[in-house]
Amino acid sequence: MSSSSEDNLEIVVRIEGDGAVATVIIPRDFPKQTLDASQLAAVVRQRGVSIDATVETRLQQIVQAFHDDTDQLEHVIAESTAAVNGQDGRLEWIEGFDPATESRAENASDDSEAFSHYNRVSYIRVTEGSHVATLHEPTEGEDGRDVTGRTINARPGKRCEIKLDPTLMVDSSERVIAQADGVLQYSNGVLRLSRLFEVNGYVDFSTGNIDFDGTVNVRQGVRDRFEVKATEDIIVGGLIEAATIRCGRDFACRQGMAGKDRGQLLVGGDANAGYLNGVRGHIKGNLTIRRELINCELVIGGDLICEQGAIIGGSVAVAGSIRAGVLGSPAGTPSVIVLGTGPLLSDHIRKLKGLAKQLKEQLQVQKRKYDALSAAGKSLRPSEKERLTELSFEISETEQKLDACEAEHAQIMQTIDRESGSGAVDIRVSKVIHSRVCLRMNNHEVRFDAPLKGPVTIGSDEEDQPQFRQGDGPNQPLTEVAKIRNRAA
Amino acid sequence: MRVMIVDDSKTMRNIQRNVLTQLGYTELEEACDGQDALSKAGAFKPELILLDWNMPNMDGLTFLKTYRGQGHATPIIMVTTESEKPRVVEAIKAGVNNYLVKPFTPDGLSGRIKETLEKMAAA
Repeated sequence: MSSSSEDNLEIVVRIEGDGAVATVIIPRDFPKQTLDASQLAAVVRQRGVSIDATVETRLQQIVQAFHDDTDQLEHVIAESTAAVNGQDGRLEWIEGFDPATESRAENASDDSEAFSHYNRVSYIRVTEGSHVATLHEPTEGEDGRDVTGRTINARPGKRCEIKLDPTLMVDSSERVIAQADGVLQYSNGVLRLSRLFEVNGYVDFSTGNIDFDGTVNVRQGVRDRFEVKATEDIIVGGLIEAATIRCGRDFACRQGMAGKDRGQLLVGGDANAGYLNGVRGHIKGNLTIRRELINCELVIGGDLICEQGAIIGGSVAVAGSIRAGVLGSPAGTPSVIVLGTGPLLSDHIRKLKGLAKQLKEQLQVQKRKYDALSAAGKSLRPSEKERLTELSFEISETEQKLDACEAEHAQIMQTIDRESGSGAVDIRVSKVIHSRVCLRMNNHEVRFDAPLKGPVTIGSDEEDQPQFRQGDGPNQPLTEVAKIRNRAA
Repeated sequence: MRVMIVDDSKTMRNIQRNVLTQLGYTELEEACDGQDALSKAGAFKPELILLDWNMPNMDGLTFLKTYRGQGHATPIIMVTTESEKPRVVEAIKAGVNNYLVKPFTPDGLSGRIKETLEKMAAA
C-alpha cells in the first residue's frame, strides 16, 4: 500500500507526439514543501527533456503556481520546433517566355480593334542572347528540434526538374540565356531551343501565322488566309488552302495547295507538291508536281517536272526544261507556257529599277538634311554633331546600296543581251499536248489548234526555228502541227 | 581583336559596330556608359576601346581615369563632340591614345582606328 501511495505522489513527465510536446503532471497530494524548481528540473531532465532558459522559466512558474494552490496540475513545459523544409529549385520565367501562358497576338496593342487573330501566336520565339528565365537553386531548409533536443531534419529542396539542353545556358547571375535563335520547346523534362518548328495540327487560329527563323514542319495543313514564313524549309503534310507560303529554301507538300487564285507560293529553293491549283508565285529552283498543275501563275527558275501529271490552264514561266505527262486539257483550256530566263529577269529588273529609284530619292533627302545641318558650322550642339555623324553614315550606306543595285542591273542586262534569241528549249511531253496550249519560246509563239500525241520532244534547231520529234521519229518543223508567230516581227 | 564600344547612343554604337565589322573585327562588346564599361571590361578584356565623353552615370573621362588607375594599357580612342583644345588636352593627359571629333565619316573612324593600332604595334 505504502508503495502504491508513493507511486501516486510521483511527478510524471509525459512526452507526446513523437517528441512534439512535453507535459508535467504533479499529483494533487504532492508535499508542497518538498517541490522546488531544481527538483522539478531534475525529474524533467531525467525524462530526457532538453532544458533551456524558456523551459527553466516555465518550471519556476509551475512551482510557484503549485505553492499558490492552483487547481491546474498539468502543465505543458516544452514544444518542439518544426523543421522548415527547403524550397525546390525552379525556373522563374521572364514575362512573355513562359510556355504555359496563353497564346498572344504579335501585333497586340491597347487598341482592341487592331488585334488580328491571324497574328495570334502559340509558340515562343527566342532570339540569341535573350534572358528567358531565372534559375532559382533549391534551398536546404531549416532543421527543427523536438522537446528532447533531437534534430528534426528538414527536407532539402529538390533540384529544378527542368533540364536545359546546350541551346540554353545559365550565366553567373543564374540567368537562363538563349544561345541561338529558335522556338522554346519543353518536352520530356528538357527545355530547348529548336531550329525546327513543328506544328502538330493545322496552321489556323490555334497557331496564328507562323514566321520562323529555321525550318517549319506542319503535320496537317494550312487554313485559308494564313501565312507560313520560314528562313529555311517548309514541309506540309496535308492540304494548303488559299494561304501564303514563303520559305528561304525548299518547300514540300505531301498533298497539295488549293489556292483559289489567292494562294501564294514563294520558294527560295526547290518545291515539291502533289498538286497546285490556283496558286501564284515564284520558285527559284525546280518545281516537281506529282499530279496536276492547274490554273497557276508561276515563275520557275529551274526545271518543271510533272512527268506523270498534267499542266492545265494558267501561265507558267520556266527558265529550265519541262517534263510533263500532259499539256492542256481535252476541253481546250487555254494554257500558256513561257520558256527561258526572260520572264524571270524582266521581273527582277522591274524590282531593281524600283529599288534604285527609291534609293536615289532617299539619298537626296539625306543629303539635303546633311547640308542643312552642316551649314551651321562650328555652332552645332553636341546632339546635332551626333546627328551629322549619323547622316554621314546613312548617306554612305545608301550610296553603297545604290552602287550594288546598279551593278546588278548592268549584269542582268548583259545576260539578257547574251541570251537574246538563243535560249535553249527543252520540252518533253509523254502523253499529249492538247489544243489551245501556247508555248512562248525565244522569239516565237507556238499555238496548238489540235492535239499532238506523245511522246513528243520540242526544241529549236541551229537557226532558232522550233522543231518537234514524236517518239523515235525524225526532227520536224513545229509549223507542221502548230501555228507559229514570230513575236519579234 | 576584342573591341569595346562605349557610347550612350545606340545609333552611334551601331555606326561604330558597322565600321568595325567592315574592318574585320567581330569580337565586339557594347557599353552604354562608363560604369557599364567598367563592369564589362573585366570579363571581356578589350584590346581597343572607342569611348564617348558625355554619358550618364559615369562619363568617358571618369572611366578613362578609373580604367588607367587599374593599370590597364588598352588603347583608347575618344570619340566625342568635345572639340575644344583644353578638353582634348585633358583627355590626352588622362591617358587617351587618340581622339576623333564628331561629326565624323566612316572613313574618318576607320582611319583613326588603323592609325591607333599601328602606333601601338610600333611602340
